[in-house]
Amino acid sequence: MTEPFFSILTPVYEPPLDVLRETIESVLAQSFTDWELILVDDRSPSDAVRFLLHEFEERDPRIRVIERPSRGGIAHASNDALAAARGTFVALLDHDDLLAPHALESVAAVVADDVDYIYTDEDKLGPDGRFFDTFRKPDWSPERFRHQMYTCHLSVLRTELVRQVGGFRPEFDGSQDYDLVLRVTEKARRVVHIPDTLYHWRMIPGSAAADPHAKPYAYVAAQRALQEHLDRLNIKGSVEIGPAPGTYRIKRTIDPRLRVSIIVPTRGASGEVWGEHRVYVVEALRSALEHTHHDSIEVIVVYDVETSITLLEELKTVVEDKLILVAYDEPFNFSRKCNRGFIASSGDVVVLLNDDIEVISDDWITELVAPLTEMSVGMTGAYLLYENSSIQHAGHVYGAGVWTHAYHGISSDNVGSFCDLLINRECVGVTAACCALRREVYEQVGGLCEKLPGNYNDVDLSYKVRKLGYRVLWIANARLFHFESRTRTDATDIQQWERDFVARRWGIPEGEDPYLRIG
Amino acid sequence: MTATEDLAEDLRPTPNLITEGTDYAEAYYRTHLGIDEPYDWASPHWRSFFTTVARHIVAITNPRTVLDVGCARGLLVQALREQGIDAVGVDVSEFAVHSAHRDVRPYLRVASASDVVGSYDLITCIEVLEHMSPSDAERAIDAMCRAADRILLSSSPSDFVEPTHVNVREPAAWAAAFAERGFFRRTDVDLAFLTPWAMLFERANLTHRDVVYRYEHQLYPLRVEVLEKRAALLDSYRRATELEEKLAAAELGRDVQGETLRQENEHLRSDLEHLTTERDALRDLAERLQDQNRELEARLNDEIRVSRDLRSRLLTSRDHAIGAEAEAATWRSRFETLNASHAELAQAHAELREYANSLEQQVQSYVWSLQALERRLTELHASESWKLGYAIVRPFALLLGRARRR
Repeated sequence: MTEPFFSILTPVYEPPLDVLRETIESVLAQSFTDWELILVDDRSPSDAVRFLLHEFEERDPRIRVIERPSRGGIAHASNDALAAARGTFVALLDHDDLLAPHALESVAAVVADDVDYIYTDEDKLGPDGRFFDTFRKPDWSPERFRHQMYTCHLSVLRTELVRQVGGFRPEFDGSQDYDLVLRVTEKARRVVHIPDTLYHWRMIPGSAAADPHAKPYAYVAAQRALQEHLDRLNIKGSVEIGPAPGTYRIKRTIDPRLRVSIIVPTRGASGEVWGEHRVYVVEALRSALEHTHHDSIEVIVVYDVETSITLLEELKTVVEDKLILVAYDEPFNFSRKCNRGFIASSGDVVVLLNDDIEVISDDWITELVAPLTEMSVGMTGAYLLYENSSIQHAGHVYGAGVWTHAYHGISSDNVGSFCDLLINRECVGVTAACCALRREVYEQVGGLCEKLPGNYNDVDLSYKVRKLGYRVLWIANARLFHFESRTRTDATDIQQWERDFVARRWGIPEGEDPYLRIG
Repeated sequence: MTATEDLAEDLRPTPNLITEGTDYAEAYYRTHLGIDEPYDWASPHWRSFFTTVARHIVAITNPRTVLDVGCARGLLVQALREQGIDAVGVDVSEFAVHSAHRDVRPYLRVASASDVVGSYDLITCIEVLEHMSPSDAERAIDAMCRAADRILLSSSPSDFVEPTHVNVREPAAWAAAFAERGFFRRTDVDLAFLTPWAMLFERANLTHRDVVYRYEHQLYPLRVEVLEKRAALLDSYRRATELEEKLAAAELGRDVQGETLRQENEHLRSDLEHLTTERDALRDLAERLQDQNRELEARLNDEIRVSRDLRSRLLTSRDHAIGAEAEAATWRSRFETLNASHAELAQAHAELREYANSLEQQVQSYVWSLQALERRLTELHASESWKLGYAIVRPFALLLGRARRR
């Protein structure tokens, strides 16, 4: 690999001169020197802007200025810059933002022959000159990306590929970068994330960075861009504006014939929830079936042989002809019970479901199962809340030497870090209390590890799924209550040997989680 | 049929047989009257019969005096008398007259019919003349025709079996005999209440026309009735024949149908037997198949169990494999880390050695310069300022000593 040559594309339209100067200076200050800066003036009203541009052009031969004869908008200006680019990669820099001095050097360090797109962490630059609100981004997360244009700045794209996909599209102005990156990443061989803040996004009143409500037309453009993205990938579904500014919601549909096997291991336990007595498994399945329109379902209940006949009869009345009963007469082993259920199942997709849950979201099965129709997705998990609506599970976090739940115990009113509690996203793992896998994935990974009868079998499963190259997704819109540990009192405490077992297989997760880098 | 022919038929041999009073003793009355009922006024049957006869006789002829010729035990006399008629009777049987009921006995006499004398409004002669020889009968008719203008006659024309019926004649013969004596039948009265052949004769001066009218008057309705009855009979016969034929046909049909049905029944029965056999065979087959099915099901269940078990084991084996692979990778990465640190250590060691060497060289050079210094010192020792020089050089001597020990 020869050293990369970067073309920095900067459309310019009437920025404050000192701001523009700082921006260009940040380029000139780069430790990596093999770059060109293409400044395209989109017919700024004031000549001072153009004077300044030419001043820099004269100062450094790597700076080139293109003057558009008339204003064409950011996409046209960007395309002019793209046309002039001679670099192997294009880096997108707005006319008021700053590059960190080692930005290009860091990018150059990760460039390889198969890398087509690189993005970095970013923060914001206040009017007072302070940096704040660092966005510590996840490693490449296509599912999250189609819910939020999280890669944003700094984005560095292989020039050849950008030209191949047709460059910027003016009809998506406002979200022209989102639209471009969607099209590039659909074709990209490898996407690399640099977990370093290499870009400072300047807050100027009226800019998108300062006021997310400032550019609603951008969200509508993004919505269209995403719909086209889904259509191109043949993902069946529609795009809606998301619950927070800058987020989107993908409503997927699934083939009604897709057979879903819900596997529920149970001991037939009962207890109090919200002051009322209930038999967990009965209410779990009642709510599970009430909250879905998908009909091609079988429910496999793996029950301990001591379970009362009355309870099984009650299950039959709730689940009717969808019910398959599998008796289990061995000592407690959650993994083995699930595996037994899997062996008895016939679905294209299996959903492992604890019996101490209650479904909240309508169409939870569709939400959970639909992303699995993308072959690169191996497993999906749900958003689980405790009885008091605090968070039980919002995806796993493996880092700093421990395996744990993200956002555990905090209120579900939280939107998370950069809205990551509101949208679907990639994660290292999900809980087996409610997760879905395609049949062949479950088979390939050998199901749940029976050497882990109580804890960490889901951690191990998640590792296995990702080891085979599949993505694991946390699904924000598949919400359930999980009355955890009410049904299993003997396995709430994690044993040292369980930690040792997982550590022996997968090593201790030193450093940061690749997806949730939240301190 | 003509009158001549009737006469010709009547010309039967009539041997002059005569019965006597003793022929009509107790045994006669016990056995010859056709019924078991004793021929006695005490018998309700006979009393009722004769009372009826007496009432009809009174109604038709309204007589004051009646003579019953051949009155036997006087039952008709007694019956007439009870109707208020002055009736008397004669009979040839002493037994009969003497065994008569005491109420009527005084009005009866033992006498033959041919000896009848006196004058009466009516003479009745019931079943008497056939018991008399033809000549006695002729005399009796003469006697009666002298004693009365009306004579009620009944004489059986057909009972030839009764041994005392020595002179059985047809009514026509008796009617002719009376006609010879100027007595003609009253064709307008019907004495069927007594016998079918009973006739009432009356002395009359009748012209041929009257006689012919009287009989034709009877004849025509009889002929019409006969013709109609013949036609009806023929019709009945034909209908009967037709019905018979139908019946025969029906019977034949029934037979044929019966035969067909029988055959069908036969077929059905054999079919049934066949089907029963088949059903039994099928039942056996079904049972065998069920057994086989159960066996197969059991084997299938076994195989499912085995398959599930194998699939479970395969699943756990995959887990073990992937786990082992992961473990190996973890070890490899640790090994590489250790390797890397080992290399780093070796590098550091080499660097340290080099550093040590350079230190040693430095030390050596120090040694040399010290030795040079020592030489100069020795030279200095000889000099005046040696004491001061010693104090300066001493620490170097110590360092030199340490360097030598290493």
